[in-house]
Amino acid sequence: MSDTILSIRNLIIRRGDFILNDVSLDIHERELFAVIGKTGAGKTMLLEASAGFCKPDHGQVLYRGTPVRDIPLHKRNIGYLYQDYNLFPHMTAAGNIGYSLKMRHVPNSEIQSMVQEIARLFEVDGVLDQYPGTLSGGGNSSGWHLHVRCS
Amino acid sequence: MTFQGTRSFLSNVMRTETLFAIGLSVRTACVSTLLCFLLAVPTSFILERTSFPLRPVVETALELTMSLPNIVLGLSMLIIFASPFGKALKHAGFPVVFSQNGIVLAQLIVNLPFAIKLSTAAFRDVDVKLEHVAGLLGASPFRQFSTILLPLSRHTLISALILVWSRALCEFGATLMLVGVTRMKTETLPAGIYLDVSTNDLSGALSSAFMLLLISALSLGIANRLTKKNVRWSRHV
Repeated sequence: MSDTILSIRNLIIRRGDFILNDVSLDIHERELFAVIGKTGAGKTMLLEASAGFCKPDHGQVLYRGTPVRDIPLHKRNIGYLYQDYNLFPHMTAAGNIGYSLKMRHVPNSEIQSMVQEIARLFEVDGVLDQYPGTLSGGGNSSGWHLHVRCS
Repeated sequence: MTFQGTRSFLSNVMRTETLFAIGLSVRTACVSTLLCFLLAVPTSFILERTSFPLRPVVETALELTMSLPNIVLGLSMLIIFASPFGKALKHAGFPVVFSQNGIVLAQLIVNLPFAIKLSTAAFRDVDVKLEHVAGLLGASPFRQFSTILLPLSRHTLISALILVWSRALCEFGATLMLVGVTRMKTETLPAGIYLDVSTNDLSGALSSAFMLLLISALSLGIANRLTKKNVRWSRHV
């Protein structure tokens, strides 16, 4: 189907004793798709495989018709929110938020004003100079959210 | 009693031979450490972050090299560089056997597996998810390396660099086999100790040994301080 963004076919991933067994699904354009399951069911593994972070033992993950792992990471155009935030610990909140803009060669002055603007909007402008290790849980999640949004 | 206090130590250290040995040791250790890391960092990256098919072979070769006595490595290098290949290198203006180039090369070969092991461990300590995140945020593989992996492992890498430098400074076995020990020519600090002992100058040998001990202790102290990761962005516990 032409409006299929993500197509997973007979995905099998083995990690030690755990097996994510034979998952197939299609996600279409503008569709909101939730994966629900108990702890240890393999939701995170499914998401990581969908983003192409891990190599399946069997099956395929197609992103807009192309095997996702064949697309270079920086050209996949996928936003991925880790449950443990994964902000870059050696960068300030501002550095984290503006990272994707910097990687897209946006001029520094523009990055600064965009980061200020978006931080004000999400009321995290008071912690822009802080490092993730010193941020509260809420601050980390906001930072990470903006991190992905800016991309 | 052969070691007669600070004055004796200073006069021994200020001898032309000892100053030459210190200069040569520091110079060769700096060059070999630099070359070591220029080779070790990309190799470690390939071993740790890519699905390199020959990884088990390379890892076994590294472990084997590390477990060999330095003198055996030196002997192997002597056989290689005393061959027509080594002679061709000499004619091309790069003599190895009995020359200072050989000292750098001996230190490089002895330390390279060690440097690769340390750099690989440094990269392994960094959560690969952060590089995935950077990639998804638009960073090319090189930018993932330069903006995430390298800054996050730099303290461990710098401390590894210092340890490797210190090992290079103290290298003797491989150097002895490849370049011999000639006063004021291929005389590094450990070689100086050997020469002093063989000429029954125990005071000179002890002074050089003390110099090596001082330099090693200082570099170990710096390396330990850096591995404590007392950096401003570290998570408070």
